[in-house]
Amino acid sequence: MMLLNQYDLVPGHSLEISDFQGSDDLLIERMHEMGLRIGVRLKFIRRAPFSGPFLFQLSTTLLALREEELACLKFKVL
Amino acid sequence: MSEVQSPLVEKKQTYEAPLVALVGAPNSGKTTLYNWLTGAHAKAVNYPGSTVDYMKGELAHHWKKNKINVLDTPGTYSLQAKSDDELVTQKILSSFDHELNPNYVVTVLDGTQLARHLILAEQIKLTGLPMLLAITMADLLKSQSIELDLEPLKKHFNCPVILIDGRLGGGVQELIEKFPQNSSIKNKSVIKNWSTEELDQKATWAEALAHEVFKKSDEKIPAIWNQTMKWDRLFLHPVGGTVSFVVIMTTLFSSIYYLAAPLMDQVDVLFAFISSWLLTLGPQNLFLDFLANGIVTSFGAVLIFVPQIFILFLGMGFLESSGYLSRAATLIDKPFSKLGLSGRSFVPFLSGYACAVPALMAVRNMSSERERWIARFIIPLLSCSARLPVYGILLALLFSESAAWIPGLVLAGLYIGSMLVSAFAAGILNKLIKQDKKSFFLMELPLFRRPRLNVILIQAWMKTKSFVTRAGPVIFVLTVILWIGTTFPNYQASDSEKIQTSYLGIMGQKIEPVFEPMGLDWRAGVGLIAAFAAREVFVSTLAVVYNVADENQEAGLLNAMKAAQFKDGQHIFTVASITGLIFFFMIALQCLSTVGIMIKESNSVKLAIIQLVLFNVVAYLIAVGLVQGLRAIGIS
Repeated sequence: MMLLNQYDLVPGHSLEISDFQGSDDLLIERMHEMGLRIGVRLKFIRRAPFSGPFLFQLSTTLLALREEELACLKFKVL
Repeated sequence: MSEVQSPLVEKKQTYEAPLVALVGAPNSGKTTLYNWLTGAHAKAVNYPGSTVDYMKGELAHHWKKNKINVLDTPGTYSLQAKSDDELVTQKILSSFDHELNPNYVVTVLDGTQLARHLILAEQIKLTGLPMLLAITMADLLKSQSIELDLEPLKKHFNCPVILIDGRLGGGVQELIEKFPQNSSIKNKSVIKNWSTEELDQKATWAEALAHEVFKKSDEKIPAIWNQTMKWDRLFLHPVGGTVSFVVIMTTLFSSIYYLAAPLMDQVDVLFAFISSWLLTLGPQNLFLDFLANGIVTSFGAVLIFVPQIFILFLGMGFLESSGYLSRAATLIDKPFSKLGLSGRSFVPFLSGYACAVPALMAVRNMSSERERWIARFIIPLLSCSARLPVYGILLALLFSESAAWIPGLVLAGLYIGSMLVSAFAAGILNKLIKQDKKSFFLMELPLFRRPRLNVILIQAWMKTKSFVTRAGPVIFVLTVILWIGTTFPNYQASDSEKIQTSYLGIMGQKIEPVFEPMGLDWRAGVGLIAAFAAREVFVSTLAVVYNVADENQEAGLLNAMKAAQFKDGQHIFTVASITGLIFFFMIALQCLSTVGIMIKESNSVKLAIIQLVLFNVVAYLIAVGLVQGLRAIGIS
């Protein structure tokens, strides 16, 4: 199932990055440097309080991404 | 693939002591290794033209080796820099400067994140600099019976690979044995820039290599995170996280205030004692007065901040090395993002309520230049502890007939007001300053670990020393200038007469028309000018200029202020003028120590002066507007 946007995320979702989008090349490059690339699997943990960053488990680490940063990623639910 | 190449391709190091740089991702255990190597022999330094700190020190004597310098570079995920601190690491590795370019690189890799960190190691390998790999968190891997086969790494990188136990120091001796003994190494610094496709290829390669290294036991690694995940259920929970954040931050900042206060009092008492002792050494003369009230007072003005700065950085170090600070930054990010700031900036802001000086120093830890500008600009607006005695006397004067809870409530309102004023100022700056494309929040939340006390003590001490050596001279000079202004030309007169006839007193009288719209006379004006030494000086200066000789100075000053009149018999301190003064103090930048540290931290005299003038002009206009407005509606 493809996710249209981040608001469809539910805690516990296992996801796979299906694509990158947007024009922020530096951010996309940083995402690749931190291990986010097409085909990588993540688990959505929860959103931080006050509608804050989205928290994902990536292999053995926990990543926090702002809403606009997350908008650079397209996912499919596993 | 593109390359960033050092201007000097072939260079010969001529420095006697070799320079070893530790390079690694944030939270990779680099700083813990640095402390094992250098002990307490370290100092915080800046790359030329940058305010980003990194540590430089000598290999500790107990390792019994020849002199070797060690650099702890700012953490980076890649040599393709995306923030100011990452740029410092990139520059160090490609530097032309023989003092900064290392002879040897220790690439620090977190053993629990090996696959992701190997990409940085590959990039460092391609610089051509001699290197070794230090794999940290060996204790955690061992706790899960994860064994590593280091041969594939040695073969690929063609360099030594050493496991480091950050808790007990295992592997450090072996690491040191690999360091070069002299600095005459010819090297070639080249940084390879990879495209995202190349990065993906490297990531696939790194995963395969890490799998080989872990002898297929990498499925045991997630167990290391079990405890952290349990803690995160509390610290990142909407309710539990918010409550624990408030409790932890209140504890930290009340510690700064309450633990530092008695120590600051001791510093104050010590310098007051030295000052009065010097004055007893002989008949009153200018030299002794300069020693006592100029030199000693100036030293006191610098050293009085030491307890606060040390405790703040100790607390921050504890939270950072425990892994909590990243959680706190995540928690507070959304509200801060509305002001153009990230969650990482909240520590300087909260510490600004204790004192702007350590808060401005803590701004260095923020990675975005844009955010540093906003933070530096608005921190002096937060209600620091030096405003408290001023608010105390003014509220006591304003509410002398009221129940005690009323001034208490107004005081709380003033603190909230300062928060709103600074949020408003940040909002304006957020609109005015161009967006910084290089500012990301995206971050890794590290494992929760028990901090090593000696590491955080050393770091807090380094930061404190850095404050004394950087800001100290500026604060010292400015305080001496203020002493000259309040002492000359009539330096032999009594205290009261001396200040009234001093350059500052004369200036106050000449510019009395400036203070009149605020509802004040020249004496209160002199108090306002003298408060530039430190805001609390306002109270003691008023005591001198209004001739208070009462033993209970505050009660005496209150009575003197209540009785103070203009020449035409009208009272000076009225509801209107006191309200104006309170708002003036809320906004005005009357602290030379803040100006001094601002010059040093921002590397800009211009910014410090713009801020000084702007805040004081705005404060003045608001005070005048309030006084005149209140008078217009019949409140004198």
